[in-house]
Amino acid sequence: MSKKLNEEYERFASQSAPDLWSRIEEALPEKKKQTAWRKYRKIIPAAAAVLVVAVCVPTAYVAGFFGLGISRNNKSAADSVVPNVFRAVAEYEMTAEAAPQEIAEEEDMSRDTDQATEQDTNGTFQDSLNSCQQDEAEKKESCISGSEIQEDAEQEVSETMEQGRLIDLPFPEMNRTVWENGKLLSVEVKMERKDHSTTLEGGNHGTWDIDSYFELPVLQEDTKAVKKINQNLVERYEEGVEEYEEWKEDFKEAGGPKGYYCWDTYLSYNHGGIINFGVYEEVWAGGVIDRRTFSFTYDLNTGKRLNLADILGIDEEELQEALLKGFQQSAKDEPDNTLWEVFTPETLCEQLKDYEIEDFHYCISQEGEVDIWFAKYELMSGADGMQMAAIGKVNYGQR
Amino acid sequence: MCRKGKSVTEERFEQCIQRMNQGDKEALREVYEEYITYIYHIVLNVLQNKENAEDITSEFFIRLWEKSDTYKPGNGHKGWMASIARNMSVDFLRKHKREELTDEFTEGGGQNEVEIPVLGEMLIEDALSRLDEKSRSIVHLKILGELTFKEIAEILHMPMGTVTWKYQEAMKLLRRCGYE
Repeated sequence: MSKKLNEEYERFASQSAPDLWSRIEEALPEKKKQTAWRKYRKIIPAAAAVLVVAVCVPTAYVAGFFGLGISRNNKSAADSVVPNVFRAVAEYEMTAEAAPQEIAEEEDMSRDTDQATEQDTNGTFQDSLNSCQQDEAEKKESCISGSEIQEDAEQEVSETMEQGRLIDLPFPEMNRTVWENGKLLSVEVKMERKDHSTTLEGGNHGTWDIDSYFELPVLQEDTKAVKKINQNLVERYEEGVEEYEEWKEDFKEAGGPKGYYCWDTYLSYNHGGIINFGVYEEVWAGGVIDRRTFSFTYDLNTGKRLNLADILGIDEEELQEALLKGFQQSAKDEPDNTLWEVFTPETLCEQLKDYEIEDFHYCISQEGEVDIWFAKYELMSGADGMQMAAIGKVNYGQR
Repeated sequence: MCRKGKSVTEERFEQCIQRMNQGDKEALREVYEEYITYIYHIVLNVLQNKENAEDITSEFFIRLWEKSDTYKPGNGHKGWMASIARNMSVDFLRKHKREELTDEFTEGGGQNEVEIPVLGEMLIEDALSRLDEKSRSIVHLKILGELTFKEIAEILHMPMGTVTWKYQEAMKLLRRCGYE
């Protein structure tokens, strides 16, 4: 980078930035004085954990030593109590964390602000908080994994969690566990980025450096349905890795000297018992960049993967009709969409008539709008990139 | 004072945050003075509209004040702030996607895909206007934010290969515009 460019850029950026201090200062609310609860809320769970472990564990051991506890499976009382203590601590931590969050939400609601912006801002600030609470969360995980109720599926998830790097998710307000009347409405998700970068020897370029990662969501709830979803996501991830391995094999002669193969996964919708992830895959072997998009949507209470007909609340036979109706509306709402330069809603439906229901990938916006995704080359030339069209609103389980 | 220039350390920034947590508005002002240029151009690169960029930038600093107690040190405050500013801007765009946002910047953006001959000396703003939004953001985060390509890739949700490639392409174009 030349010095001249840096200097010129800094001068330009500085001169063109407005003075906004007055309006910012006017809008600043007075800060509430921190109460002891607010001030120490983040360490209360840890302190409670230390206290419980310090008091209960020795007590349990003493009780076991004097034969006062109830033994199970020939274990001492201490053996049977300790996992329960950890479980109680983990549960306490979850409860203790929930209370201040509710307080914060009440405060947020009192502000007259743009809701979506609020989500994002809170989200990102909260992201930082989340990432720093990661250590605590990991401790919590290890506590739970020590319990007797641990099942194979959960262990598999925990092992997966240890291998990759957790990354922050946007919109953390959406990313939390909410139960209502025994139904899981939304669930906290941790996104694990699994690194598959490598350097291959050989080929035309001598070596081939590949940057590669796959982002795998892991849902943080202990129900059968959620375990099933996590298992399904792991399988999808493993399929993705298999394809990556095949791709490396295919391009080992022609690829390089650089390349990448990445799966960016987005939590798009987490509401009303439905969770939707969009995956944006970008692949570059050194020539043309290839992009694909696909999605995973599940019912949080059954673990069922939801297809396009499910989410629109229609039978599969009604799909063509629903597509036509949705595309007609989309063409009206978004006349600039390049899809409508090439297709009419009718010809697009004709193009899609042989699709199996599983061939449709879609993403749900936070407002519940369903957008169908079409990959690069799927409908149009590569130069046009991927395509997207709104098709309707989430209507799952409404009929 | 937590000043000055791009050399604000993590420690100094943290001190400002602690003072903000105590209700010290002067600490926010210091952060504002240090980072108004940085944040405003991150937002402007996305929104392409000065008026909206001013609104979102103001909102950013108000939110920083309100949520300062959620800041956790150690992850690089410039990248953290850039992520927030960009997310706020993208969110604003999403909300207003059907409205006309580009009242001033309809010309220019995205011309770097066209082969441009040597253009000679050119004002930096004119040269930058020939870059697309992502490339401008990359250049901005690199020069003013002094972030690594990896950090930039994470903020922009792009593969690192794309970021480095776009940066190199931007540099080529800026060279053609007279910047060595």
